[in-house]
Amino acid sequence: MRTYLLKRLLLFIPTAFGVSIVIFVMLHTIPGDYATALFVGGEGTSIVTQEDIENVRKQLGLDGNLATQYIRWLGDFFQGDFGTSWNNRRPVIDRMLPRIVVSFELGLLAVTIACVMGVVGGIICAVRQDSWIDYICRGSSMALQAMPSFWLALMVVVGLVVFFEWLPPIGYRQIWEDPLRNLQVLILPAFVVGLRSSAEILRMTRSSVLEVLREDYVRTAESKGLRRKRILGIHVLRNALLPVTTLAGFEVVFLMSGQIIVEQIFNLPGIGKLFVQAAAARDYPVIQAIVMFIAMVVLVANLVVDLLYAWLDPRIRYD
Amino acid sequence: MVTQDHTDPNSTQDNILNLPPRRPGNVKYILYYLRHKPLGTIGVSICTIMILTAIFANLIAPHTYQEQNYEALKQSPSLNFLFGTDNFGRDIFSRVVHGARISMMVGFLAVVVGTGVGAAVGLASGFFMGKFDALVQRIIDMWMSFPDLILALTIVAVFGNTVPNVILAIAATILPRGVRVIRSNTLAIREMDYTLAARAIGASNRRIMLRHVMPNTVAPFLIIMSSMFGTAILTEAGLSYLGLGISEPTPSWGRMLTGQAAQYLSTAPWMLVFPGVAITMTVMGFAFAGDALRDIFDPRQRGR
Repeated sequence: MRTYLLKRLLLFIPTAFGVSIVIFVMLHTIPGDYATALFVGGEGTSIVTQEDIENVRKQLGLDGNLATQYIRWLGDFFQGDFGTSWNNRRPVIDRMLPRIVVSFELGLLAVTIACVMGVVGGIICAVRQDSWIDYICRGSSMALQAMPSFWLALMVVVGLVVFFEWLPPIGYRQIWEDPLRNLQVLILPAFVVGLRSSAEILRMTRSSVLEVLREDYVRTAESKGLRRKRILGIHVLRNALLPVTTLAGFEVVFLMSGQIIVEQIFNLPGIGKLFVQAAAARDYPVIQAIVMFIAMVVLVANLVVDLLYAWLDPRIRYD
Repeated sequence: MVTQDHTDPNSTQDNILNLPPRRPGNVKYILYYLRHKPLGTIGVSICTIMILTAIFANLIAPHTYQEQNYEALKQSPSLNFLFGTDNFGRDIFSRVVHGARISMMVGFLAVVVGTGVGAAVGLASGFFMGKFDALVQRIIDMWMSFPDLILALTIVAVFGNTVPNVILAIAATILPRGVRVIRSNTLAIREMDYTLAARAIGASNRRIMLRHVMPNTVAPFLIIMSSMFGTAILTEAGLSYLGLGISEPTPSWGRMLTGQAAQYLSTAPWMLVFPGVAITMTVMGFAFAGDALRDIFDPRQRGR
């Protein structure tokens, strides 16, 4: 276990570095750099000397070759300096921090909803295999996976407005300011994001529980005369939920794609909304910082899932 | 994502006796299959309808996608306007039909590029193994640490949202999965007896790769293509919805749901309903068709 932990951690470091290099190189191969773009097309272009451009370049941290630029950027990154937004000249970190809180909260709610709905639904489906409830759950989970999350969100809102004439509250409040309002605003977007992931978790839980139900030790437990609830709780679920843990970890990645769009629809000031704004305005330092941040979150999530899996299931040998 | 597994022992006995030869390409078997796997049939039908719609959009759509009818703004669905009209008086049915063309084209090209390049890399990686393979796998690990939409959005933001760039951005999200699937298949085929036999009689690497390994990866290649098609369409819709995909006036399904459309959700909900239904139907159709393909080509995986 210790060697596995060490190996997994050692693998994490080069991957993280590789990711940072990829992001950096990609955002620096843009045709024409920003310093020249600032001047070209404006009035009195001819007055601008090469010296001016060099100065701006220095200000933006675009001087020197790619390698020195990268090292400077990485050094700053580790010190918590994510650069300065080109659009409003504010430090990127200041713009990101409050938004990370919002997105984190939304993500946490969504994962919780997805896991609860998926696992509970999956168990019910497996226990009542081929009953009407099984068919309904599986059918709707297939439909859910085919729906774009933004359309699902729109349809939920349309449904609420048309049938109940009720519009969900808009206007985010911080959780420490107004916890109730905060929950009111977040619950619907979290539900929409979570619903999609719950479909995948439901299918996984179902097939995994069905598989375990056919195991010999379950038959043994049954022939011992144990009650069904006890068999399910003790023998089946503990084994069946192992693969689900892994899946739930991977869902974190998918959740993020959904979150970007849902934040847009419900106008939540999260990291996804900032990312879309930055992408539309081509604010490269912001894009760079957010992509880097998200990639790190994903890598750490994968790491945690792998370690959790190894810890939960001692049968697996890693060498 | 196959749902029906008929593991009833009594019925399989009968099935084995009546089953036509299980060879892909055998018409009888395909017909037999379609009758016994309704979901696959539904999937294939939806795919066929969507492809035909995309090809013959001009003939099917009663109006052009740009035609604005100011006497019929935000009309509810009627015989004249099957899916109603939008805030410019454009016929939504015609726009959805034309949207099929652009969405399917972008999806198709992205999948061809993504899985094609992915398969080539996966084949090489699995075949040569060793350091090259390890390097490729690390790169794929990195690649997969970007959520789909983030990766696509970044590429489009950096290189601009022209149609080819959107296609490449979506292809980039598909590529790593193509590599993974084809690589694991290649690794398995590499150890097969016929590959070893070919090696024993002194066939060159190139010959083994092209004549023995590659033909056997065609089935997984087709399967991943059809199942990735749905993902590609979803990503395109997401990009367009965020305003960084295909731009107006070309009607893409995602684009039709964006911006102003949401303002009319209480007065003209049909503007939002139909494009989304089109996306959902197409994605589901291709997912079912992908499962059906897998069942036909790879009976061992049936019911998984």
